[in-house]
Amino acid sequence: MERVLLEKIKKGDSEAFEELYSNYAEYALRVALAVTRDKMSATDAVQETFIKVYKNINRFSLDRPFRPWFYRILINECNRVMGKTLNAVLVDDFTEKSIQSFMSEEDDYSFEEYENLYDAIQKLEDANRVSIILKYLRGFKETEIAEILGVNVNTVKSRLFKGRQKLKNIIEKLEGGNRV
Amino acid sequence: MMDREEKKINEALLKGTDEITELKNIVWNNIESQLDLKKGNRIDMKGKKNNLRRFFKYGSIAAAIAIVAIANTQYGSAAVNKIKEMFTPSKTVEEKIEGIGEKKNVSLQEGSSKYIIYIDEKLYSMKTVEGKDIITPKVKAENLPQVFMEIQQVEGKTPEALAAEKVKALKENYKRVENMGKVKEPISGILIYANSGSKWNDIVEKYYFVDNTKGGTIIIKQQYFVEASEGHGSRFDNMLKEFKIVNQ
Repeated sequence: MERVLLEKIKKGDSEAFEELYSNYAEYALRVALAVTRDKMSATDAVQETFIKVYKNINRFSLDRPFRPWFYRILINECNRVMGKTLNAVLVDDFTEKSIQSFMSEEDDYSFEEYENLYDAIQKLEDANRVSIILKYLRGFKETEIAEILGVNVNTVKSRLFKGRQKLKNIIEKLEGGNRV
Repeated sequence: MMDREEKKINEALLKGTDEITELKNIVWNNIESQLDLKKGNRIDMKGKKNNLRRFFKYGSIAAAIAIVAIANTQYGSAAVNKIKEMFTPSKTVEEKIEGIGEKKNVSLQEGSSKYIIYIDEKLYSMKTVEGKDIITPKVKAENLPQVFMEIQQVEGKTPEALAAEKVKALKENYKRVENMGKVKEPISGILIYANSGSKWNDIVEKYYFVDNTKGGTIIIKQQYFVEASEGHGSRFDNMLKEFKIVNQ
């Protein structure tokens, strides 16, 4: 079905392009917001991603899955609007921010649990964070995340493991009634 | 299959990003505009224009521009010059130029695009040329890049769309072009900054794209040179602090 849509876009069918937009935009915006942490940057990134897709669709082989290609462009655009290079964001540097210190921060507001968890996700190291977003927001498999980020699948597994462990600890704390 | 914690992560990510999904139509409008897609070959997206208007009127990302007397029946049909009467014709403001506080007498000016602004008439004058209001210094130095602030209104185009077009155009002429995104000071709008370099006389162009609340945009362009950033640049920004759109 998607292949038919992409074939039409390759032939310059703008209606098919709008349909592709309808199918992809919502999650592209969600992922971009989660990655850039900023609505304006997220909309810029999504806009440029679709423009790039439209302009470069003829270079895309229909034998390949479209979704990872699309999200690779999106993540690159997110990095561009954040003023960083791909390597700068996805650098394999696990210098840990102190989640513990984050968890002990005073917070005068009573947030919903998911808001605390969302904040915790946003405080993960970029490399772990982006992998977590792609897996749990968009449901990508580890091999697809590896393709999107241009890294080894074992690196993705490691990033997901680290990110997930930290988040699980936070969830336990939240459920135990401790404030984040 | 997700376990319980994984479901919570998924839920947090979905809820944490819910607010941006309402921008879907705005982004599409920008894409459509940039790619100049054929209007006759579009999938119907009912309510797109209304949603867009509603979003910019009430949405969290909308520029919170000052609207004067918009709903007040006493003034609802008043012409700009009537509304102008509601404002002090001149006042004293204190502004910091290059770190030093200065007291200035500023005078109320009526723009051609239904807005008011206060300018220091000792230093600047304002004239309208081809629908654009241009504020220039009274003292002009020779052999220096032009210094001015230009205000014009563009109907039927959003600040986002115009800002994207401007970034594209500036990138052809300037070394550094930055979309600084939404700003609230000195005025609510999208800020674009560009310069031709960092030498004292390199040109700086700065733009604010302000929602005019009627589906269009007020474009404010400032041009000066690097050395004048703390002088004319600051003064132009100070003028914008008193900028108010007059809706009728």
